[in-house]
Amino acid sequence: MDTNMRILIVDDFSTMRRIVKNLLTDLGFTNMTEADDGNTAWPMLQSGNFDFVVTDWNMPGMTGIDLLRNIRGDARIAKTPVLMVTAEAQRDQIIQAAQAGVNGYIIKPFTAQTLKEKMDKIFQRAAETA
Amino acid sequence: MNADLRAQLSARLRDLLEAIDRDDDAAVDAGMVALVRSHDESLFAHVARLTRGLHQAVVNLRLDEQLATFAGDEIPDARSRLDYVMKVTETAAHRTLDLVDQARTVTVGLEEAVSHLSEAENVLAVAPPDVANVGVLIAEVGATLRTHGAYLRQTLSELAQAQEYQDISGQIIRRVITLVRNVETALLELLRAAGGGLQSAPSRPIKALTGELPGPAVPGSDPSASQQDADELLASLGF
Repeated sequence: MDTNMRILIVDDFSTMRRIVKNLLTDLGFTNMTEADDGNTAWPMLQSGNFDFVVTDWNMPGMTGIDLLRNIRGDARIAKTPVLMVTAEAQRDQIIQAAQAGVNGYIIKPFTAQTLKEKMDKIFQRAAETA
Repeated sequence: MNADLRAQLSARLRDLLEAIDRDDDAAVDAGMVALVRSHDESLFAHVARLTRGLHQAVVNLRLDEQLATFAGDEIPDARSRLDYVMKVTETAAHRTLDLVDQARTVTVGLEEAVSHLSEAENVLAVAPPDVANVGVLIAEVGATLRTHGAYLRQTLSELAQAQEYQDISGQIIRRVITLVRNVETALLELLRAAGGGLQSAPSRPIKALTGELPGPAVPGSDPSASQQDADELLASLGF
């Protein structure tokens, strides 16, 4: 896993962004940027060469699921891995996220271990298919 | 019957009696028609009043139903969600305080390192200095600082993570605020419909809660998935 990769963290709660950033720092990542909802994240993704997106689902403005759909719908960034970190824990929603092309789904509250596992799995898959 | 109507009726009856007394058939017929028409008009007015009353009653009834839903389902649900918020915040506060206590033990390690350094200084002050002993002391300082540094780093990371409750509790509280606002609006509508003479209109209409996200799961009350359920579900979908 390239620890210099550019990661975009999208969550409307600043505390949550800090927690995710902290955990990613512990995992060795150094290049992280924050956005407080999909509307803020979208232009950043368009111009930012991000290698990975960690997003919440329920946010004002553009939600995480819409952000995910927009990413998959834009040929230039469609392949960016997206990890959904959300309090939404209904079966239907997990299926909805899967159908929209999510790469990993973490239910809040979560542990550092879960984040590490999901990230490892996503990059392992990426390496297999590359 | 109001005063105008009474005066009108008595005038018509007087005219009619006079017409009968003087045997004026045309005037008797006209008087009879006028009387019947005025009766019809007051009947129509009465029916209209009844209809308005009925409509109002229906409006009130719908509000009653809405309030019954609030009182019967949504408020108890909000209460249990707020109970959960209290538990989560309390647990997080205790966890934070425990971690702060844990971090304080690092200062013991720092003091230990400082005392080893002064010891080394003392050794160096003596001529000729016992360089081998200084080396041992410095190695000890290094080991102590490394151990406590790693411990502090881990503790700080856990401290940051303990603040996670703010996200969950914030989302739950936001939903309860929406419910409170809806109850307030419904109560104002009810007061107005009941003719309470309330002047200020509610700021917004009651909105149906369709299409909203279920939000954070509250243990024991929602049929929600755990991380393990989510993993299994995604695995079954080929993830």
